[in-house]
Amino acid sequence: MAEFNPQNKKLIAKLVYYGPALSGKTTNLMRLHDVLNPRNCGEFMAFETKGDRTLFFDFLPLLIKSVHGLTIKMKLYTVPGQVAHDATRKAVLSRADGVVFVADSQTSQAVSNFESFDNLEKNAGRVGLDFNNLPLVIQFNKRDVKDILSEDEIRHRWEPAGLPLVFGSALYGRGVRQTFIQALKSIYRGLDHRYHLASGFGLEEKDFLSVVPELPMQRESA
Amino acid sequence: MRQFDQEHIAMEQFDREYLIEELLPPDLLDNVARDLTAMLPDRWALYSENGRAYYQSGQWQQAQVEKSTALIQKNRPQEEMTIHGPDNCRIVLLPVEYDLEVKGYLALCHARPADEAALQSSKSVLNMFKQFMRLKHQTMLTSGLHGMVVEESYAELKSKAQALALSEEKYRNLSANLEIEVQRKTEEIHVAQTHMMQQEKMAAIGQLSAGMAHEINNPLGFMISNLTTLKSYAADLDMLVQNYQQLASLCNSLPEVEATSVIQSRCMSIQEVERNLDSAFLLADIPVLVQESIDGAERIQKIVRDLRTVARPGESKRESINIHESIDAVLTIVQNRIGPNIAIQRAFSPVPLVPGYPQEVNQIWLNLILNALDAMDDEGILGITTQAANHQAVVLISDTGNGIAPNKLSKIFDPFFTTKDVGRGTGLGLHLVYQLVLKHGGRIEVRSEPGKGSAFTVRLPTAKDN
Repeated sequence: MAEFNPQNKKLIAKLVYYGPALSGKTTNLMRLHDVLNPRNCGEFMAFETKGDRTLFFDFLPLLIKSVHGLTIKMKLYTVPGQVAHDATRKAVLSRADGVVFVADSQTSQAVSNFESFDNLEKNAGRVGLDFNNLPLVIQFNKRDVKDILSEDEIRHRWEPAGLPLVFGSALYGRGVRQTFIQALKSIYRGLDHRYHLASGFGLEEKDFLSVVPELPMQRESA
Repeated sequence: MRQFDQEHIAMEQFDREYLIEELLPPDLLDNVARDLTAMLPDRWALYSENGRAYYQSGQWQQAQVEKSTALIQKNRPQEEMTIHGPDNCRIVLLPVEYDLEVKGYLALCHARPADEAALQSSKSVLNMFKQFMRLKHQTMLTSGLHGMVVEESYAELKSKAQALALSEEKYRNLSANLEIEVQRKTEEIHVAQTHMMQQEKMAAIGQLSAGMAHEINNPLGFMISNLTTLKSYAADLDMLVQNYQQLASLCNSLPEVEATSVIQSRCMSIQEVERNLDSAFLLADIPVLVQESIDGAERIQKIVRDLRTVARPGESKRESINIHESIDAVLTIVQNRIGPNIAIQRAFSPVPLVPGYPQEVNQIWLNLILNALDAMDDEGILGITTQAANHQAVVLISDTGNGIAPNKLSKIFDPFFTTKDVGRGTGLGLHLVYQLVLKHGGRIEVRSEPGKGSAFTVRLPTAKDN
């Protein structure tokens, strides 16, 4: 759960990148670190084992300073995707204000996606998150590789959930920004509802989104 | 699980905000303080975000500290600031930034204005602090997470152990009850089996009783016939004796002159009677008939005696048993079951007495001999051999019957195993034999060849003093 302290004008929120093993959660965070303004970006902290598998989590703190003097600290985490690290996943997921679910587009990973999503729902329940109202964005990653599910197929399966759906290729930076923007929008809606950020403090969605620079549009289309 | 989740949420979160006192703890600063003196002025201090001087190096005056605290609390400066303190000293406050946030302040007390070199080295110290803080932060994140994971794993293990303990208890109860239940069933089966064994004994004897009746009836028949004949012989002889008595009295009463002719005629008529009676045959036949009857009675006497030997209802006293007498008694009992085309080869060698229960030992021979006869279908050789060997009486009972298939050989002593037609065999005959042999401390072996016959060897231990 976010911490909001109106006295020192500080809001701390947590966004967790969830998903099956090797779906590109860490890559999402690294690319995001690349495109964000260093003014807003703390140091990227990764805990990797051999072969680039995340052992504990990755951590990227962001700082957004609004014109109204409010400071928003957004902590981005990834979970380890491997089934065995469920306890770690649970600990990282706890108190999340939003989740980006990074799915693997490869046809061979369809089952892993569903299992991981199921695991997300279960763990959300275990750590006391209201899954139905949890800000959640789905990213189908690895659109650049062969043997992937078609967009129609994915839309057909996932759109009924009514969640924002983004297609991406995190390795090349595609979809990373858009996913993050969708996540920020969802989180803002949730926090505004709870803390009346707009009416009480003049903090609007665009302030939230200001952390994402316009600049990398060229990279997006590259 | 629910209980655990509550524990889990109550735990300190690894991803909380950390204070400068945690990221740059005094013990760490103690370790590097001496190395820092080259880079920093004599007096330096670290202030927390809210202005508390949590670490001091050198002799600070209370007034200087208080002034810095007040400034921090009032302005929360984001940039470098200089305070002119008491005693002509200048205090420079440098914000300690970490992850874009000001976590606290490094306060430096300069006696005179700091030169460029001094400023540069204090910036290096700030950078060093940043690296310390990053490492400390990483350690706290990972160890905090590790703590949570271990806590969870432990709680999960605990609940698993609890579940296991519960199920173990369940199974322990079950197994305890199971033992009692099995014991009860075993007793039930034992009672039923004992009952059936008794029935098997009675059945074997009952099977014989029809034949026994015939055996007894036969001699009785000719004995009655003989006695009837003897009764008519007695009447004839009585009449003859009367004639002789009359003749004797005539001899005494008649005058001598008349006597001779009267006696002569009288003798003639007696002779006539004797001829009619065929008294010579009659007198010769009497001992024959009597002897026959005596033989018949003796046969009955033997049968009854042997039947008693074999059946011995109600007797269960341990005795010294003569094996040969025991076998012969059984042979008598089964006599009627031995068809005309069955030859009995009986080869007895001297055998010491065997201690045991006579009725039970008889039952062994009875069941083995009846089985042998059943196997032969009215034709063949029933062999009974005895010999003494190594403190044992060895009895071999063989037949030339159907034999037993090799795959069935190991089962024949099992209860309820039978190859006989339904209703003929109970499947307990050989099992009973096996039990009785065992009870007498003996052993039983079987050799068999299908189509050629079977041979059972029973070894019973003889009395020790033999």
